[in-house]
This record gives sequence, structure tokens and C-alpha cells, in this order.
Amino acid sequence: MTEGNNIQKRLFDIETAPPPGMWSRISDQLDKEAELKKTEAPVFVMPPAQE
Amino acid sequence: MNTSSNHINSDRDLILGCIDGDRKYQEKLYNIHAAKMYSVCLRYCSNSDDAQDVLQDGFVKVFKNLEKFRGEGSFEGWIRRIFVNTAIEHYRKKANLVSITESVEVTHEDNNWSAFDKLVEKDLLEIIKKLSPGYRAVFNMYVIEGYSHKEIAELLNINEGTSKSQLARAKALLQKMVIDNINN
Repeated sequence: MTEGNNIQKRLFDIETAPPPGMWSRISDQLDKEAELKKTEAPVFVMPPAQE
Repeated sequence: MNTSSNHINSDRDLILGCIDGDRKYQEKLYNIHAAKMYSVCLRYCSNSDDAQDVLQDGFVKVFKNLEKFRGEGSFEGWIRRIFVNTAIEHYRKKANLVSITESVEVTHEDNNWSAFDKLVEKDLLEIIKKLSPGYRAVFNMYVIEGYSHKEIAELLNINEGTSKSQLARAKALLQKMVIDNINN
């Protein structure tokens, strides 16, 4: 790709600080997902029927 | 002492700590990459609330999928791909899909990007945000991330011709908005 290379260079690595509290949101979400994983019912595989 | 090797080891330790679910390691990884990835999210979203949702979902996916990172290519590149995919999923859920499938007529294509050099990055981002979600996604993926039209077509579930015409239209609109911004 050659077109727009300058704009690509200028915008690719730009940094913007996320608002405060974002890490807490992510951490809470990870806690919730971990909790859900713990409470997931174990998968029970039926044995093949005996003839 | 080989500092390059130390750097690789510390990255590896960070990744392993995150895979173990250690919050301190995960927070460190977040602090290293959050500012760049938030910029990616802002480029794909119309507003900061949506960008924050994508940032949250993206990091959760990064932590859930870290063990799949094989060390091929850069770690930042791997993370960035997850964020772009998350932003696209978000777009597909929220966007009016009519805008991506509509036929767009562009009478001429002007590849003069010089007007863009007159704006600072913050203003450029604001102008990109004003594009419709479909145009914005194609523009970001092709011009900034370097995806091919074939890859864009697959990810957005459109055909290559639509991707090309969306890009041409997005560029024409951007150039007009940049010139209007400079003149005002």
C-alpha cells in the first residue's frame, strides 16, 4: 500500500489515555467471567447404549 | 548483558503471569498497551462510550486468548488484531448495514492527501469519526491497518468491489471535510 502512507504513519501509533476507571471495569469483567466459569455445570457425556 | 534477551524474557514473564490470571500482571499489560489500543477503538467508533465498550471487550478477549499467542510476529500486532476484530464485531452489531452495502458512485478519485498534513492528529481523528460506520471501518482497515480489500471483504462480509467503492467514497468525503475544516 502506498497511498495515504503519511496519514497511516501519523495515525497508526497515536496514543490516547483511556478514562480513569477503565482498568476497574475490565478487572470486574474478568472476575465475573471467572466466577461464571466456576459455576458452569460439568459436561456429562452419556456412555454408548449397551445392546 | 544482553538487554534484548532481558526484554523478551520480561515480555514472556508478563504473558505467563497473565495466563495464570494474576491481576498485577494483567494490569501491567493493560498499562503498556491501553493508550494505543484506545486510539484504535476511537478510530472505529462514533463516540467515546462505544470506544470504551470495545476497549473493555478487547482486553477481556486478549486475556482469555493469550495462551494462543505463539510468539510469531509482534505481540503488539497480535493484540491490535484482536482490537480491530472486536471493533468490527461491535460495528456489525450496531451499524446500519445498509450503509455498507449501498452502491456508491464516485465520479473521480483524487489521491491528493496533502491537505491532511495541515491538520494535527486529534483533528484528523475527529474528522474520521464523522464518517458513517461503514466508510470508517473500510478506511481504517485499508489505509491505517493495511488490510487488503480481500481481507476487508471477508471480515465485513461484503464483496471486494464494495470495499473498493466504500474506500473511494470515504476518501472523497474525508478530503472534502478536511478542506472545509481548514477553510473554516
